[in-house]
Amino acid sequence: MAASGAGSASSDVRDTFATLLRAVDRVSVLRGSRAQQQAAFEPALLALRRLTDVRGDIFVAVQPGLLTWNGETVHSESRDAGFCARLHREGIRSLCFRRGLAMDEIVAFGALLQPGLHGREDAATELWKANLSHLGYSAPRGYQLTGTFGDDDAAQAITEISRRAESELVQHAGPEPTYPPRELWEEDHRSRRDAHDPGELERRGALIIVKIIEQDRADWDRVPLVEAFWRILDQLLGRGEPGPLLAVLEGALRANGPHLIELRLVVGRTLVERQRLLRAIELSALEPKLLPRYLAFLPLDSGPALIPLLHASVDSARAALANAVMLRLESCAQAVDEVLRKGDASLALAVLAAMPSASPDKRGPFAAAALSHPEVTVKTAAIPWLSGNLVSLLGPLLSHPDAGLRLATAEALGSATAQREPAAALLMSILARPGALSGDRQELETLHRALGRLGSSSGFTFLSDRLTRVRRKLFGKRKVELVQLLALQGLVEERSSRSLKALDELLQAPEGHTPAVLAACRAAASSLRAAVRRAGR
Amino acid sequence: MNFDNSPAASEERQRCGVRVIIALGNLIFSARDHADVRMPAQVDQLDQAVRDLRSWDGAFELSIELDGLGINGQILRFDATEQSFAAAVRAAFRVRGLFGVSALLHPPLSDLRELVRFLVEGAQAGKPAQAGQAPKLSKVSKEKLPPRGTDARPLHALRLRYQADFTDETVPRLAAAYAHAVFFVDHTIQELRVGGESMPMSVASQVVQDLVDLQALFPSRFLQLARTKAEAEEYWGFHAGNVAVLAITFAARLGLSRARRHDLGMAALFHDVGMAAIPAALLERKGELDERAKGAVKASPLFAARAILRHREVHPAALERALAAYECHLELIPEPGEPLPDIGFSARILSLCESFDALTTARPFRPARTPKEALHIMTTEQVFRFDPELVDLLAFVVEPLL
Repeated sequence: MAASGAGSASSDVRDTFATLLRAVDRVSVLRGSRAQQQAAFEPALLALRRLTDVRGDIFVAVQPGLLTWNGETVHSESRDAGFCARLHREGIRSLCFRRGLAMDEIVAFGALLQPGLHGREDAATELWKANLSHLGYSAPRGYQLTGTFGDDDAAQAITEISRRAESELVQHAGPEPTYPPRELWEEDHRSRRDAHDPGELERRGALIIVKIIEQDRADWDRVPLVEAFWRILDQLLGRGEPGPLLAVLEGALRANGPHLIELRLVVGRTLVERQRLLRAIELSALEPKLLPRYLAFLPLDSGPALIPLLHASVDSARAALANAVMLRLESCAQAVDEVLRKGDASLALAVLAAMPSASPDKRGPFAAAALSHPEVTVKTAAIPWLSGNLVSLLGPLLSHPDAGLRLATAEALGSATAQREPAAALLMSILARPGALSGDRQELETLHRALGRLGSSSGFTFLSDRLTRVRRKLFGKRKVELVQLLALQGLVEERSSRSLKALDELLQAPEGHTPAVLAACRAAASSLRAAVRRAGR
Repeated sequence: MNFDNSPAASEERQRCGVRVIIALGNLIFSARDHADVRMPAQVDQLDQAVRDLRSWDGAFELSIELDGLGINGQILRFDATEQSFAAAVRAAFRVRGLFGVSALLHPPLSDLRELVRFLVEGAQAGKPAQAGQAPKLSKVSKEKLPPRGTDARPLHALRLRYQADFTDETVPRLAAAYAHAVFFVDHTIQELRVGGESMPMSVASQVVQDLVDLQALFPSRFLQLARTKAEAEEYWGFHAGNVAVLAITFAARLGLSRARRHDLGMAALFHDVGMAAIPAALLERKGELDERAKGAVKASPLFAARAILRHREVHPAALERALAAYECHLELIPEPGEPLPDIGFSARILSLCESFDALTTARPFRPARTPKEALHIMTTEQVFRFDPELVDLLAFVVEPLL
């Protein structure tokens, strides 16, 4: 019976610790608010309270890889990597859970057990600082300075210093006052002056590291300092402090010095990891400037890591990510090409909007790829970035069913001055089609202006003929005026002296032209004359 | 006296000890509320609890310890409902300057009543001791103050332990913690100079934990440790130790939590480790420092921050240490055209403590000032160097040294 009672007792303790460690695991994954943490620890607290109510105080011995109660193992794990090993290494030899354990105490203890956190001191110091009434611990007594270094001189030195201090005390020290001296500050003033904000400490700490490296004072400690720097960034990311994080990133980007490159490189390799990137994207909703600075740290070969995030991110972050991708085109050309050919339209548009970030020689080929995208908006957005043989690239689009795309194409052709004559021929062929004049007025104007802007000889002849020698029989009386006005717009767009001359000729022989044409011609000539004069100057 | 430390004995001692404290606390509360210590039922409870304890251990020794209350050499644990009794007992003993009570024979009820009366009267009439009026330790140890009220009878079995009885224990304890702190810094600077292995940070942390605890128990004596001064070649260790003593005291007077006092103490120990980057010969040179030496000293705060951050620890306390080590050497008012420096709260306290200790220590290039002279210099000609609000409070903090 006794054996079975003891077995059931150790099983209770084992179950309680399993519940506690499950809560620790949960919190380390969630890293949520205090309320969420308390909710996670609720079952563990209830189990520990039940246990201490029944069994009294629970003393647990801490060994590497083991927790034992009354000599029986109640928890086991890896000898080297688990929290038992860590607690033992950091000076904890036993723990005592007392009756009356409170939620704050279990949460504080849980924080100590969480793996992978750099943001804490050794366990003995943390427990001492926490000063928990119902959770005791034991640690080896004595400083062990001499023990650690095995040096008799050290013991002698300490004795000598101690002797001198004792002598001062005996000479000067009186008894203690019966009441402790009053505190000089009230609580609210104290908390105002000593805010002890971790984010602020991290900001200043990280910038000190930057300063040390910038002033070339790091020497052989550069590697650990850089590691400390990215650990700070990690903590700021983890806790979600966009303000200090931005300040640190800006400080590191602003700093100069040969070793800062190494810092940026190492930090960039860390920041490129997906979870960190997702966190930065999340935080950029609170601080829009954050993401561009963060992405500036990423290495040039990090494009492939960024492409999938274009899907995941919100619109505001997408632009920054797309810019970062375009700056790293070398590393992700194929993926970008794919997005532009058949990717989600919003992604393709974001990439096209970020085209100025790409080097000029890369823009044309990627824009040409976007012309094969099924969405008209993507094709339209790609047109301004096209280069090379625009006539062959844009020619088919002039017949596209979408009017907006046709307009954008015409505009782009109007700027293709390197292929002046072929582009003009293409535009004229469209304008000369039967029934062309029955199309949309805005489109007709755009085509005529584009033709004029090209400044080609064939285009000029085409436009001036349509203005001055319009064949009434061909167009019919009603449309003659329209043809003349459209041609007039093309000639004005050319802004040349020959077009001015064509207008003057018409005004000198006004017979046969409608008042509307003459009035428009007069206004256009006046405007052109001023423009030609300005250009001549 | 040695007591049985087996789990069963410890558990029984814990149980009886808590009963003693609850009974004693209960009596203190009742006596305060009703101005009467007769209350036979409660005195009987205390009597029974002491009797049970003596039947187990053969003795009764209640002591006010660093970590709480002790019974027969064992620190007691209290749950939430028992804490208030423990606090009342502890406070009543502290007010009377008592650090314990013991009885080899079973104390009669009259002794127990007299003890409670003495404790309660102390709480009602006690006033803080005035600085400068406190007798020296040697005198106090000769005065065995019996608890004599107007109608008090002498105690038959109970023996009161005054703090003076602790002289032999507290002084070496204070001195040992201080000596370890000084040695730690000296050793760290030496090791940094030769690129050797520095001591684990946990050692420094443990030393500072003890310094903080000792300050809370013996605030006045603790501060006197800062009078211990270095010979010329051993300046940095003593200086850091003294700055830690001053900073912990400063923090306590401001009412900062013990965790924050620990942070400040640690920052104080490390605030000058950057000196390791400066050749010892340069630092020990007599007379004013030349330009080269001044340049090296100017760069030393960054070295101090580096020496701390190289451990890759980035928790708030480590960052606080590194920042304080750097910032406490910055000028509060910058050179024309320079931006306002970012100086944290800890660095502002350290800056004051550091200057006070430096001024009161003899250096190769100038003699030591008295604490009074140092305070005068810091509050007049150097006042612009310090946080205006904190420098005004310095006099209150260092008053026992003046």
